[in-house]
Amino acid sequence: MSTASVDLFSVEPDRARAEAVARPIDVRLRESFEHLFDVAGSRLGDTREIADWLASGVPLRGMAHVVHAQLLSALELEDEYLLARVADAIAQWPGEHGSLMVTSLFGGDRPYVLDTLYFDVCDEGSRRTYGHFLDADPLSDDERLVSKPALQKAVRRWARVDPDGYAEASALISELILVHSDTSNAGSSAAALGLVRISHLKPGQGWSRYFEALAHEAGHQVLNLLLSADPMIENDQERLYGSPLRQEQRPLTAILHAGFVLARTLRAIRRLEADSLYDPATDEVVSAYNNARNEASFAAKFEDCRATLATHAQFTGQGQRFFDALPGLAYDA
Amino acid sequence: MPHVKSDDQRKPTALDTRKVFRLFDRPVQPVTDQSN
Repeated sequence: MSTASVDLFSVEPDRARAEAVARPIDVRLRESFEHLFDVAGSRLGDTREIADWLASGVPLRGMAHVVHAQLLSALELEDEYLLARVADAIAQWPGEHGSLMVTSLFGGDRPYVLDTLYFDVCDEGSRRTYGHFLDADPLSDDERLVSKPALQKAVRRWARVDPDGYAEASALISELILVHSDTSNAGSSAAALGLVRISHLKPGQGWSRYFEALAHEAGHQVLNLLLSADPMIENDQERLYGSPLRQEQRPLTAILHAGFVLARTLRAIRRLEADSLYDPATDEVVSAYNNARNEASFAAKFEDCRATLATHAQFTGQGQRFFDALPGLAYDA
Repeated sequence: MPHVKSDDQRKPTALDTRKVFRLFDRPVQPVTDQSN
Protein backbone atom coordinates (compact mmCIF):
# COMPACT_ATOMS: atom_id res chain seq x y z
CA MET A 1 0.00 0.00 0.00
CA SER A 2 1.27 3.47 -0.83
CA THR A 3 1.84 5.67 2.17
CA ALA A 4 0.81 8.75 0.17
CA SER A 5 -2.81 8.52 1.29
CA VAL A 6 -2.01 7.74 4.92
CA ASP A 7 -1.63 10.48 7.53
CA LEU A 8 1.37 9.06 9.37
CA PHE A 9 0.97 11.37 12.37
CA SER A 10 -2.77 11.12 12.87
CA VAL A 11 -3.75 10.72 16.52
CA GLU A 12 -6.71 8.49 15.71
CA PRO A 13 -6.39 4.71 15.40
CA ASP A 14 -5.51 3.71 11.86
CA ARG A 15 -4.30 0.26 10.90
CA ALA A 16 -2.96 1.35 7.50
CA ARG A 17 -0.93 4.09 9.19
CA ALA A 18 0.44 1.67 11.75
CA GLU A 19 1.56 -0.72 9.04
CA ALA A 20 3.09 2.14 7.02
CA VAL A 21 5.10 3.40 9.98
CA ALA A 22 6.17 -0.10 11.00
CA ARG A 23 7.33 -1.10 7.51
CA PRO A 24 10.61 0.87 7.43
CA ILE A 25 11.34 -0.29 10.97
CA ASP A 26 10.95 -3.88 9.78
CA VAL A 27 13.40 -3.23 6.94
CA ARG A 28 15.98 -1.76 9.31
CA LEU A 29 15.49 -4.59 11.79
CA ARG A 30 15.85 -7.23 9.08
CA GLU A 31 19.09 -5.65 7.78
CA SER A 32 20.40 -5.38 11.32
CA PHE A 33 19.72 -9.07 11.98
CA GLU A 34 21.64 -9.90 8.82
CA HIS A 35 24.64 -7.89 10.00
CA LEU A 36 24.52 -9.28 13.54
CA PHE A 37 24.35 -12.85 12.22
CA ASP A 38 27.53 -12.10 10.26
CA VAL A 39 29.19 -10.60 13.33
CA ALA A 40 28.28 -13.55 15.52
CA GLY A 41 29.32 -16.09 12.92
CA SER A 42 29.17 -19.73 13.93
CA ARG A 43 28.65 -18.84 17.60
CA LEU A 44 24.91 -18.59 16.85
CA GLY A 45 24.72 -22.08 15.44
CA ASP A 46 22.55 -22.78 12.44
CA THR A 47 20.61 -19.62 11.61
CA ARG A 48 19.37 -20.67 8.18
CA GLU A 49 15.78 -21.40 9.16
CA ILE A 50 15.27 -18.14 11.02
CA ALA A 51 17.16 -16.19 8.34
CA ASP A 52 14.79 -17.54 5.70
CA TRP A 53 11.82 -16.49 7.85
CA LEU A 54 13.26 -13.00 8.30
CA ALA A 55 13.95 -12.75 4.57
CA SER A 56 10.36 -13.69 3.72
CA GLY A 57 9.28 -10.13 4.47
CA VAL A 58 6.79 -10.93 7.21
CA PRO A 59 6.07 -8.10 9.67
CA LEU A 60 8.45 -8.37 12.62
CA ARG A 61 6.79 -7.93 15.99
CA GLY A 62 7.29 -8.80 19.60
CA MET A 63 9.83 -11.50 20.19
CA ALA A 64 11.72 -10.53 17.01
CA HIS A 65 12.58 -7.22 18.72
CA VAL A 66 13.50 -9.01 21.94
CA VAL A 67 15.84 -11.47 20.24
CA HIS A 68 17.43 -8.66 18.25
CA ALA A 69 17.93 -6.46 21.32
CA GLN A 70 19.56 -9.30 23.23
CA LEU A 71 21.74 -10.33 20.29
CA LEU A 72 22.94 -6.75 19.93
CA SER A 73 23.65 -6.50 23.67
CA ALA A 74 25.58 -9.78 23.63
CA LEU A 75 27.79 -8.62 20.79
CA GLU A 76 28.31 -5.08 22.10
CA LEU A 77 29.18 -6.32 25.58
CA GLU A 78 31.05 -9.38 24.27
CA ASP A 79 28.86 -11.41 26.62
CA GLU A 80 29.35 -14.99 25.50
CA TYR A 81 26.86 -16.34 28.03
CA LEU A 82 24.11 -14.08 26.70
CA LEU A 83 25.13 -14.95 23.15
CA ALA A 84 24.74 -18.64 23.98
CA ARG A 85 21.23 -17.95 25.34
CA VAL A 86 20.36 -16.06 22.14
CA ALA A 87 21.69 -18.98 20.10
CA ASP A 88 19.47 -21.29 22.15
CA ALA A 89 16.49 -19.01 21.52
CA ILE A 90 17.16 -18.88 17.79
CA ALA A 91 17.39 -22.66 17.64
CA GLN A 92 13.96 -22.97 19.28
CA TRP A 93 12.28 -19.82 18.01
CA PRO A 94 9.13 -20.76 16.10
CA GLY A 95 9.72 -17.86 13.73
CA GLU A 96 6.19 -16.63 13.78
CA HIS A 97 4.00 -14.37 15.79
CA GLY A 98 0.31 -14.04 16.35
CA SER A 99 -1.89 -11.03 16.87
CA LEU A 100 -3.15 -9.91 20.29
CA MET A 101 -2.62 -13.43 21.63
CA VAL A 102 -3.23 -13.76 25.35
CA THR A 103 -0.25 -15.59 26.82
CA SER A 104 1.56 -15.66 30.15
CA LEU A 105 5.12 -15.22 31.34
CA PHE A 106 6.91 -18.52 32.02
CA GLY A 107 3.60 -20.24 31.33
CA GLY A 108 4.76 -22.57 28.57
CA ASP A 109 3.49 -20.41 25.70
CA ARG A 110 6.95 -20.19 24.13
CA PRO A 111 10.40 -21.70 24.61
CA TYR A 112 11.53 -20.91 28.16
CA VAL A 113 14.66 -19.10 27.01
CA LEU A 114 12.51 -16.56 25.12
CA ASP A 115 10.67 -15.82 28.36
CA THR A 116 14.00 -15.14 30.06
CA LEU A 117 15.21 -12.88 27.25
CA TYR A 118 11.93 -10.93 27.32
CA PHE A 119 12.05 -10.57 31.09
CA ASP A 120 15.64 -9.31 31.00
CA VAL A 121 14.90 -6.74 28.28
CA CYS A 122 12.00 -5.35 30.29
CA ASP A 123 13.99 -5.47 33.52
CA GLU A 124 16.78 -3.43 31.92
CA GLY A 125 14.21 -0.90 30.70
CA SER A 126 12.61 -0.70 34.12
CA ARG A 127 15.90 -0.11 35.90
CA ARG A 128 17.01 2.50 33.37
CA THR A 129 13.66 4.31 33.37
CA TYR A 130 12.52 4.03 36.98
CA GLY A 131 15.55 2.81 38.89
CA HIS A 132 14.03 -0.42 40.13
CA PHE A 133 13.85 -4.03 39.04
CA LEU A 134 10.91 -5.33 37.03
CA ASP A 135 8.22 -6.78 39.25
CA ALA A 136 6.83 -9.63 37.12
CA ASP A 137 6.50 -13.28 38.11
CA PRO A 138 4.65 -16.28 36.69
CA LEU A 139 0.90 -16.47 37.30
CA SER A 140 -0.42 -19.04 39.73
CA ASP A 141 -2.90 -21.52 38.28
CA ASP A 142 -5.74 -19.77 40.10
CA GLU A 143 -4.67 -16.38 38.76
CA ARG A 144 -4.53 -17.76 35.23
CA LEU A 145 -8.04 -19.21 35.55
CA VAL A 146 -9.42 -15.77 36.44
CA SER A 147 -7.20 -13.37 34.51
CA LYS A 148 -6.91 -15.07 31.13
CA PRO A 149 -10.64 -15.23 30.32
CA ALA A 150 -11.07 -11.68 31.63
CA LEU A 151 -8.38 -10.38 29.30
CA GLN A 152 -9.84 -12.34 26.40
CA LYS A 153 -13.25 -10.81 27.14
CA ALA A 154 -11.72 -7.33 27.18
CA VAL A 155 -10.16 -7.97 23.76
CA ARG A 156 -13.51 -9.16 22.36
CA ARG A 157 -15.33 -6.14 23.76
CA TRP A 158 -12.65 -3.81 22.39
CA ALA A 159 -13.08 -5.33 18.92
CA ARG A 160 -16.84 -4.78 19.21
CA VAL A 161 -16.94 -1.20 20.47
CA ASP A 162 -13.75 0.21 18.92
CA PRO A 163 -12.98 -1.71 15.72
CA ASP A 164 -10.47 0.92 14.54
CA GLY A 165 -8.47 0.78 17.76
CA TYR A 166 -8.59 -3.00 17.76
CA ALA A 167 -7.53 -3.23 14.11
CA GLU A 168 -4.58 -0.89 14.64
CA ALA A 169 -3.45 -2.84 17.69
CA SER A 170 -3.85 -6.12 15.82
CA ALA A 171 -1.22 -4.94 13.36
CA LEU A 172 1.24 -3.93 16.08
CA ILE A 173 0.82 -6.16 19.13
CA SER A 174 1.61 -9.85 18.89
CA GLU A 175 1.12 -10.87 22.53
CA LEU A 176 -0.58 -9.69 25.68
CA ILE A 177 1.56 -11.36 28.33
CA LEU A 178 -0.08 -11.91 31.69
CA VAL A 179 2.23 -11.73 34.71
CA HIS A 180 1.85 -11.89 38.46
CA SER A 181 2.70 -8.47 39.84
CA ASP A 182 1.53 -6.88 43.06
CA THR A 183 3.08 -3.50 42.28
CA SER A 184 2.61 -2.93 38.55
CA ASN A 185 -0.45 -2.69 36.36
CA ALA A 186 0.72 -3.00 32.75
CA GLY A 187 3.66 -1.96 30.62
CA SER A 188 5.31 -1.70 27.23
CA SER A 189 9.03 -1.52 26.52
CA ALA A 190 10.59 0.08 23.45
CA ALA A 191 13.04 -2.82 23.17
CA ALA A 192 10.12 -5.25 23.07
CA LEU A 193 7.90 -3.55 20.50
CA GLY A 194 4.69 -5.47 20.01
CA LEU A 195 4.62 -7.07 23.45
CA VAL A 196 2.45 -5.82 26.31
CA ARG A 197 2.67 -7.23 29.83
CA ILE A 198 -0.37 -7.03 32.07
CA SER A 199 -0.60 -8.06 35.71
CA HIS A 200 -3.11 -10.48 37.19
CA LEU A 201 -6.55 -9.34 38.32
CA LYS A 202 -6.72 -8.25 41.93
CA PRO A 203 -9.75 -8.81 44.20
CA GLY A 204 -12.64 -6.62 43.12
CA GLN A 205 -11.30 -6.08 39.61
CA GLY A 206 -12.98 -7.31 36.44
CA TRP A 207 -12.40 -7.40 32.70
CA SER A 208 -12.93 -3.64 32.34
CA ARG A 209 -9.57 -3.08 34.04
CA TYR A 210 -8.04 -4.85 31.07
CA PHE A 211 -10.11 -2.76 28.64
CA GLU A 212 -8.36 0.33 29.96
CA ALA A 213 -4.99 -1.41 29.71
CA LEU A 214 -5.57 -2.32 26.05
CA ALA A 215 -6.40 1.23 24.99
CA HIS A 216 -3.55 2.63 27.10
CA GLU A 217 -0.78 0.23 26.05
CA ALA A 218 -1.79 0.24 22.38
CA GLY A 219 -1.27 4.00 22.54
CA HIS A 220 2.28 3.55 23.85
CA GLN A 221 3.01 1.07 21.07
CA VAL A 222 1.80 3.49 18.38
CA LEU A 223 3.62 6.49 19.82
CA ASN A 224 6.90 4.59 20.10
CA LEU A 225 6.68 3.94 16.35
CA LEU A 226 5.89 7.57 15.57
CA LEU A 227 8.71 8.84 17.79
CA SER A 228 11.14 6.68 15.89
CA ALA A 229 10.17 8.58 12.73
CA ASP A 230 10.11 12.07 14.27
CA PRO A 231 11.23 13.21 17.75
CA MET A 232 8.13 15.49 18.00
CA ILE A 233 9.70 17.40 20.93
CA GLU A 234 13.02 19.21 20.41
CA ASN A 235 13.82 20.08 24.04
CA ASP A 236 13.20 16.66 25.56
CA GLN A 237 16.68 16.58 27.07
CA GLU A 238 16.38 19.79 29.10
CA ARG A 239 14.60 18.89 32.35
CA LEU A 240 11.91 16.75 34.00
CA TYR A 241 8.29 17.58 34.88
CA GLY A 242 5.50 16.22 37.05
CA SER A 243 3.32 13.51 35.52
CA PRO A 244 -0.27 12.72 36.54
CA LEU A 245 0.49 9.00 36.13
CA ARG A 246 3.84 8.59 37.88
CA GLN A 247 5.32 9.55 41.23
CA GLU A 248 8.68 10.53 39.78
CA GLN A 249 9.28 13.46 37.44
CA ARG A 250 9.40 12.59 33.77
CA PRO A 251 10.84 14.02 30.54
CA LEU A 252 8.51 15.78 28.12
CA THR A 253 8.37 12.81 25.75
CA ALA A 254 6.97 10.74 28.61
CA ILE A 255 4.41 13.47 29.33
CA LEU A 256 3.43 13.29 25.66
CA HIS A 257 3.09 9.52 26.02
CA ALA A 258 0.84 10.00 29.06
CA GLY A 259 -1.30 12.67 27.38
CA PHE A 260 -1.72 10.60 24.23
CA VAL A 261 -2.65 7.35 25.96
CA LEU A 262 -5.09 9.21 28.23
CA ALA A 263 -6.76 10.76 25.17
CA ARG A 264 -6.94 7.31 23.55
CA THR A 265 -8.41 5.92 26.79
CA LEU A 266 -11.09 8.64 26.95
CA ARG A 267 -12.01 7.85 23.35
CA ALA A 268 -12.22 4.09 23.97
CA ILE A 269 -14.27 4.45 27.16
CA ARG A 270 -16.72 6.73 25.36
CA ARG A 271 -17.31 3.92 22.86
CA LEU A 272 -17.52 1.27 25.57
CA GLU A 273 -20.17 3.21 27.46
CA ALA A 274 -22.21 3.88 24.31
CA ASP A 275 -22.48 0.17 23.49
CA SER A 276 -25.69 -1.71 24.23
CA LEU A 277 -23.84 -4.38 26.23
CA TYR A 278 -22.40 -1.84 28.66
CA ASP A 279 -23.59 -2.27 32.24
CA PRO A 280 -22.48 0.62 34.46
CA ALA A 281 -22.97 -1.54 37.55
CA THR A 282 -20.25 -4.00 36.55
CA ASP A 283 -18.32 -2.58 33.60
CA GLU A 284 -17.24 0.89 34.76
CA VAL A 285 -13.57 1.59 34.03
CA VAL A 286 -11.83 2.77 37.19
CA SER A 287 -8.25 3.59 36.33
CA ALA A 288 -5.72 1.01 37.48
CA TYR A 289 -2.81 3.22 36.37
CA ASN A 290 -2.42 4.68 39.84
CA ASN A 291 1.32 4.79 40.46
CA ALA A 292 0.94 8.51 41.28
CA ARG A 293 -1.92 7.82 43.76
CA ASN A 294 -3.80 10.43 41.73
CA GLU A 295 -7.59 10.17 42.05
CA ALA A 296 -8.29 12.81 39.39
CA SER A 297 -10.48 11.92 36.42
CA PHE A 298 -9.06 10.72 33.11
CA ALA A 299 -9.93 14.12 31.62
CA ALA A 300 -8.22 16.03 34.43
CA LYS A 301 -5.06 13.95 34.03
CA PHE A 302 -5.15 14.54 30.30
CA GLU A 303 -5.48 18.29 30.82
CA ASP A 304 -2.58 18.17 33.28
CA CYS A 305 -0.35 16.69 30.57
CA ARG A 306 -1.64 19.12 27.98
CA ALA A 307 -0.87 22.14 30.17
CA THR A 308 2.69 20.95 30.86
CA LEU A 309 3.34 20.33 27.18
CA ALA A 310 1.74 23.61 26.05
CA THR A 311 3.93 25.56 28.48
CA HIS A 312 7.25 23.80 28.10
CA ALA A 313 7.50 21.70 24.91
CA GLN A 314 9.20 22.98 21.78
CA PHE A 315 7.51 20.84 19.15
CA THR A 316 8.67 19.85 15.71
CA GLY A 317 6.17 20.56 12.93
CA GLN A 318 4.74 17.05 13.13
CA GLY A 319 4.80 17.18 16.92
CA GLN A 320 2.82 20.43 17.02
CA ARG A 321 0.18 19.04 14.68
CA PHE A 322 -0.05 15.85 16.73
CA PHE A 323 -0.33 17.78 20.00
CA ASP A 324 -2.97 20.15 18.62
CA ALA A 325 -5.12 17.17 17.58
CA LEU A 326 -5.17 15.55 21.04
CA PRO A 327 -8.25 17.36 22.47
CA GLY A 328 -10.29 16.24 19.47
CA LEU A 329 -9.19 12.67 20.12
CA ALA A 330 -9.99 12.91 23.82
CA TYR A 331 -13.38 14.58 23.60
CA ASP A 332 -14.85 14.25 20.10
CA ALA A 333 -13.40 11.37 18.09
CA MET B 1 18.84 -12.79 2.97
CA PRO B 2 21.56 -14.60 1.02
CA HIS B 3 24.21 -14.13 3.71
CA VAL B 4 23.87 -17.56 5.23
CA LYS B 5 26.88 -19.73 4.66
CA SER B 6 27.81 -23.13 5.90
CA ASP B 7 29.41 -23.11 9.34
CA ASP B 8 32.96 -23.64 8.17
CA GLN B 9 32.77 -20.58 5.89
CA ARG B 10 31.50 -18.17 8.51
CA LYS B 11 34.04 -15.84 10.04
CA PRO B 12 33.01 -13.28 12.65
CA THR B 13 33.10 -9.73 11.31
CA ALA B 14 33.38 -6.50 13.27
CA LEU B 15 30.26 -4.85 14.63
CA ASP B 16 29.38 -1.81 12.51
CA THR B 17 27.12 0.50 14.53
CA ARG B 18 25.86 2.10 11.31
CA LYS B 19 24.26 -1.20 10.33
CA VAL B 20 22.62 -1.80 13.68
CA PHE B 21 18.92 -1.16 14.29
CA ARG B 22 17.96 1.10 17.15
CA LEU B 23 14.41 2.33 17.43
CA PHE B 24 15.57 5.82 18.28
CA ASP B 25 18.57 6.96 16.24
CA ARG B 26 19.18 9.90 18.53
CA PRO B 27 19.98 10.52 22.18
CA VAL B 28 16.80 9.92 24.18
CA GLN B 29 15.74 10.36 27.74
CA PRO B 30 15.28 7.05 29.56
CA VAL B 31 11.60 6.69 28.72
CA THR B 32 12.00 3.36 27.00
CA ASP B 33 9.84 1.54 29.53
CA GLN B 34 6.24 2.73 29.84
CA SER B 35 4.76 0.95 32.79
CA ASN B 36 2.52 1.63 35.70
